Amino acid sequence: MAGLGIVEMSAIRFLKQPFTQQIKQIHISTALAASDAVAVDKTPRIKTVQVYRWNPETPEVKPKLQEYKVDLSSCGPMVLDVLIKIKNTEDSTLTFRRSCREGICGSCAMNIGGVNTLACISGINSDLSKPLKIYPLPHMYVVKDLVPDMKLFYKQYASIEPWLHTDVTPPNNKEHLQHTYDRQKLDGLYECILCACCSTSCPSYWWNSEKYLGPAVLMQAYRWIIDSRDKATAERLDKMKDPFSVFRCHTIMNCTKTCPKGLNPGRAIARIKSLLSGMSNKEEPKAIKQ
Amino acid sequence: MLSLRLFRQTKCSMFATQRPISFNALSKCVNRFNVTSRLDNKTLTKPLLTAPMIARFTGSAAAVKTGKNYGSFWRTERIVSIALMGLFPASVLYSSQIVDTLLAATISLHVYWGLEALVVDYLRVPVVGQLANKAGHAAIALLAIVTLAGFLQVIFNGDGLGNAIVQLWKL
Repeated sequence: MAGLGIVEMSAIRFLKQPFTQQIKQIHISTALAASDAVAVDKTPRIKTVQVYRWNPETPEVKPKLQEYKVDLSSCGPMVLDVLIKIKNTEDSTLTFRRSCREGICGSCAMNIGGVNTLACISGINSDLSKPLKIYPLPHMYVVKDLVPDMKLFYKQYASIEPWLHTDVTPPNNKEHLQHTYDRQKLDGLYECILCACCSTSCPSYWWNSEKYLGPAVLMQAYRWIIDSRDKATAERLDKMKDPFSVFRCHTIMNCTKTCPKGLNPGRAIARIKSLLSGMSNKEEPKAIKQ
Repeated sequence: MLSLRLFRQTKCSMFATQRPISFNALSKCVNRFNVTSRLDNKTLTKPLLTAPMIARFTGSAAAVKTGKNYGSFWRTERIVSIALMGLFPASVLYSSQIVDTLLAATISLHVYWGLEALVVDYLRVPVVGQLANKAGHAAIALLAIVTLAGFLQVIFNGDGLGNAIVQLWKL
């Protein structure tokens, strides 16, 4: 290979790589080229951001909307980027929860422009004439600024005992196996990240949160109720047969509309209702062929 | 396995200590707190507002336990709602005293249950007090009875509910 120039060397290296690696390289090179083009446009685009502020150390001061001016040209595309920019450059007292910045931890759930969603995966409306309004999750007790008190929510989640209840020893002594048909029933349920966007958008949960469990918790309850490996189905259902735990749901469907992960808690609640009223029954687990 | 069992046992004892506390007892305890921590003659916390707040921290998350299964009642509600869809055209097409009475009963029940949900949601005891809650329940029960009585009046002393609907349509 000594006779080859640098271009040929890199071409050979490129061709030797697996296909996915090649695609990745092409992506990187186009991204590098694109970033050069974007970097040119640096004219300031000032967006007004209004954020709910309340400080527990000064309880006599009423909660208010504080206004900030943020230049979108020097800011990331998401609402969380705006909040972080404000906290870094303008006002370090601004308080909010955030962690993963990619919509998988559920920390940054808040009410943005009137919709409960995750700040990290909702883009900023580029219309500069309209202000960006950010509130904490509605009808929750506020700890500070955009941080709601999630105690009750977590307590309710614990009350459904979200783990496998079984007294069966698995045949191979290692794991509880499940037919793919039964596993598919958990799709659309297990993806929930418990950000509480749905529960806090539900009027029934606003009015009766002490007694009604709320969509997020009920969807997880359903996830364990229909799990083919779980043997406590009757006990789980028996715990929620009262008029409030499940039946306070009026099928308003705000939960499904607002879910940032695109799940459908409304359908899960409807299925719990039909299981409770005896209109449907849990299927027997399918036999697994080894 | 052991840790899971331990966790469940401690949880059980936790739940045993977290009996639901009535709102009356709560407001009393808030009042006592106010008396002991009075700052320039202003009560620190309003019992009415703080009662649900304190319930969040002290009360059990598990809902009120009743022996009855509400599911069967819910199913009755659904059946009545679905029956209504059929009974409206039936009363117009085959107007008779039996069909009309059925329609009158289902409408009254449907209206009663719908308004009852409103009272439960918007006239909650911790917010408006026991009296207003009871008054709301009484008012909608009265309304349902008056509605049913009116319908029966039309059916047995007038010319039937189906015909009344037709008359209304002609207007």
